[in-house]
Amino acid sequence: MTARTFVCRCEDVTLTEIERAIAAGLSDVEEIKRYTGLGTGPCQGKECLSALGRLLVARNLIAPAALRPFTARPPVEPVTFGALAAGATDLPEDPSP
Amino acid sequence: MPKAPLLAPPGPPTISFRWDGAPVAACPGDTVASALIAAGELATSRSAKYRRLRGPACLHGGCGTCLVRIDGRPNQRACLTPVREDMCVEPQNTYGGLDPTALVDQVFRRGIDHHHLVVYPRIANQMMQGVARELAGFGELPDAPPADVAGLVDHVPEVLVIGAGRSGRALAAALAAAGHPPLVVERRPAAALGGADLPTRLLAGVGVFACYPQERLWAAASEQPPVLHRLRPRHVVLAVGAHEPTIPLANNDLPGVVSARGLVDMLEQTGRTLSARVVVIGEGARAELLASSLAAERVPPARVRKLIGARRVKGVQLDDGRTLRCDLVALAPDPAPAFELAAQAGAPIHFTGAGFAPVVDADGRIAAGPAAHPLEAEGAQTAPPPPWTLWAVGELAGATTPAEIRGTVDRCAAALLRALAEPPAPKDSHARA
Repeated sequence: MTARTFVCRCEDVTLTEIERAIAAGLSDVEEIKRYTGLGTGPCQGKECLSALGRLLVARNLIAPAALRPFTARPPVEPVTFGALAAGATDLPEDPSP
Repeated sequence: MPKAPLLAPPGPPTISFRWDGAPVAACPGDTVASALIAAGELATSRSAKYRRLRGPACLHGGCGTCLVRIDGRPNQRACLTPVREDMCVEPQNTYGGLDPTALVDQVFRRGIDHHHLVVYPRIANQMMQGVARELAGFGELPDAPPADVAGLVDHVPEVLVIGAGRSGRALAAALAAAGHPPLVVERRPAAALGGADLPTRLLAGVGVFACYPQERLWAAASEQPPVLHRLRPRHVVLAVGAHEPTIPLANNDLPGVVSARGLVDMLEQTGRTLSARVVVIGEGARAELLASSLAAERVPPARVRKLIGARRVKGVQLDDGRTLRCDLVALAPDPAPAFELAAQAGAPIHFTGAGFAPVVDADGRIAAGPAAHPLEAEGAQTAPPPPWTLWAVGELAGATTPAEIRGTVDRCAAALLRALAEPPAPKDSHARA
């Protein structure tokens, strides 16, 4: 087995690949996500996003105040198409005052 | 060959299910993941690119590497699925013990650079893409279409609490004591929720997967039975806790590398005890506390040269060349708040040093600010304000110790009860704002 250090296990993004992205001049979360695919697997960044943020700050590539996560889009939890399809009806009238 | 058990059962196993065709003994409190780890079966899939063995890691339903096929349905989280007699559990994305695709890890020793690998000539690129697409992805389609059409339930709760962990339960109890029992939604199944303090109005095994501010809606779903829940609350409290991020170390993906906190919680929920040797990797008081509850040696990440093992973790090699032999490695990183739902709801997000979190006031109230992402800020300014107030408690509100968590709950409960005493705004002001 080859020794590899993973930042994102879902998409198999290693520290070496992050280094390559940094060497290509990228320094924020969104750019590195787009270049490496980090954060785009089943966990949607729950495991890798903050690890990447800490790495960029530790290397002074970005100020903590300037650091932004990539957009957290639905679904946060896995959901089946069947369940989503069940919602294809109008919402009932809101009974609250 | 049977593997050495890693977790001792709380009593005689009374359940038997099948893992990759072979019987595995389990106890009533077990999840599929706890039973597999107990049996020493640590690998459940191969990874998307390098085809390395992977297994349950966060043990909290977050990480996505314990996905298995259960009774013909793909991508079920082993760590959130209670064991059932005769269930048929299978690994995913692997072609058996001597999987030829495992060679990818050996052949591409310096990594796969998809920006440049076989991009030219085009014919080679097309062939390579075909092979890569065959190998990648997660799971295969179900054996059969689902027997049941998913149900739909609409809720209009006064208060919605998302998460029935320590802070969610404490907040629900405080509101219930004041005559406002909230609706609590928790993604873990009821079987995995111990304790006598469960909220009276609880939807367990239901994951809130989205906030749609434009539609003024929160959405949640369960898979078994398949039900979609649409929620239109007046007040929303996020008690969603934190994720355990990875610690970048060589071979941190080996089967048997798990979250220390996930392991502690799993032992508590299942009543199992460790018979495995565990090494905890982490720094600070929290890591030390987790190591002591696991009766494990703790090493700081900076001292680790690499984790060793081939099909599963066998030890931790230190910077002085010494190796600590073990059966499980438990990572104890600084937790990263689970900010995702808050961000979808339009909360301003900042970096805390450990991870991202919504900006909250002293009571845990989250201001309805512009959307976190600059590309979406324009739309957020023209959108009507959401019809709910939004709050955070516990780890999402920056608390780490039990006393701090209690503090966030008490302050949020007091402020929320004040808000509940106010008459609701007329509905038209929502609709036409």
